[in-house]
Amino acid sequence: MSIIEDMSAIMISSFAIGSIYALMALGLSMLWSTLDLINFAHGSIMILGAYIFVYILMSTNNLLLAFSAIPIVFLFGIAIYKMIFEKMLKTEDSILKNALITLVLGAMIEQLLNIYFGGTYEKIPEFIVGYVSIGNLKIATQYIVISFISLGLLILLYLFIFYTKYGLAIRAVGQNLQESLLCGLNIKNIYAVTVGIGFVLASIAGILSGSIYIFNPVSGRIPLLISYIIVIFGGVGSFTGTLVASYIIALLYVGSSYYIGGSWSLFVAYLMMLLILAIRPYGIFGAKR
Amino acid sequence: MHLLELIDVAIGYEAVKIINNISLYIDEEEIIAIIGPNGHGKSTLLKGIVRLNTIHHGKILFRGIDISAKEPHEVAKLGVKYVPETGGYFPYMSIMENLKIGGYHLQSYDFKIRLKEIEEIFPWIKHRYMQVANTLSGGERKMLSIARALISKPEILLLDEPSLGLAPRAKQEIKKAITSIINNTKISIILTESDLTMVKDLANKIFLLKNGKLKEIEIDKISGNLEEYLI
Repeated sequence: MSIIEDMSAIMISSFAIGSIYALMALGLSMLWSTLDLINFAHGSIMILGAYIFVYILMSTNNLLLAFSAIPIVFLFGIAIYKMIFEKMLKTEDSILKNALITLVLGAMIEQLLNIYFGGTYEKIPEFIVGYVSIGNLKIATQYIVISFISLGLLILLYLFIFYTKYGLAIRAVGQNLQESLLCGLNIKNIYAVTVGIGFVLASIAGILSGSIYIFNPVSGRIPLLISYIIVIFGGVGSFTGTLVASYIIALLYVGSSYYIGGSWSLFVAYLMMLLILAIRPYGIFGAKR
Repeated sequence: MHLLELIDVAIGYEAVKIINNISLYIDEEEIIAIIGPNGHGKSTLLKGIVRLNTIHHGKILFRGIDISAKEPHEVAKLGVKYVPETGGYFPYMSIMENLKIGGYHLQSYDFKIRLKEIEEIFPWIKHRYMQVANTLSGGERKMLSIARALISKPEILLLDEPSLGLAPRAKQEIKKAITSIINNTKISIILTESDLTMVKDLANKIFLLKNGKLKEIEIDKISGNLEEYLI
């Protein structure tokens, strides 16, 4: 392939993967900035969404019905908030305690998936099978479909956060808890819905990536780390920053994998995180917290 | 039945009582000022009313409903709005977004009507809706915090040191705005303030909060300098 074709392939892959990362990382960033919840279970939630999708699909053989995995994960998020996080909110060291709880929660989800489905790999069937040819370049239709779905969802998420009343309330709570209370906002409900949305974003990322790559119960670990790199790189709570960082990290990841080998791609991403932490710890678009 | 009544209330933090056995009431369209030395519990009292501080004992009745065990957002939704001495706005949001959050529970139609009323009290605001709050001057920020509380049409406004830290000109603007609120709305106000000229000009009743005791000072009998009450 020519250099132009190589670059095109990298760009297209990076865009599809970057969009999936963006969904995942935006969920993580929302929980972090709104609830001070550093969710180490985010990778497991991602894979949980993919497994629920596969389970419904296998049971019903109905692709549309399989998407009910998304509201199921939303309700799961609200239930987890009500059962666990809400009680921890006003306690001492709640950030650390909640982070540890999410670590255990993530491990529990992995273990349960392992018990139920076994450690074997699963794969969500491609939504549309086939290739699109541009010159000598053949692009899997699935990449294009995923890019459009992700982009559509990112636009919807942006509109929700910046142009709806509820999105405004979520941003307000993230900025200042006391001021939000003084305005009559029901913080607990907003927190619960935010956890639900955060979990949904992770599960959608899981479903989309599960239609490209095979996965098993522990496949959420590396996406979790990459999401952290993105959130730190972009700045906690910054929509634009997270979006830009997602595509940069995806480009680095795919590019380094293509040119210097797959085993280097994670190393490059980690190196990026260390550099950002050293140079600008609050991210490229983030404000000092 | 009074609009708001505190009956034998003790307020403080989880483990510490700051003020004890306070009783106070306010009726409709009344303006009450609470003065006193710093650190004697003026802000604690107002924060207690909106449940940001702990009520150790006693009752706080709003239109006969006991609000002493309610959540802060429930008290705000009922119509008791507190404007803190610092803050009172979302610094990274525009003026319009701040007002939208202040009027979160209003329907779109009511919000537009309320916005017109806010523009009458704070005429400068309508030309600068998209300006981010942390780029405003100190006086403008204070006015925004009052506007944010006022837009939901509360029945009682609790103003905590509205002129604190402001330059004389900004103080005059705040005083003018509060006077306009008093003249144009039927709202009741509890005000804590260290500028005693402002207190004398605005309040119907003045209370002194000192050493945890609240005592009414008869305005007619006040002669000379009020500064002695701040020591």
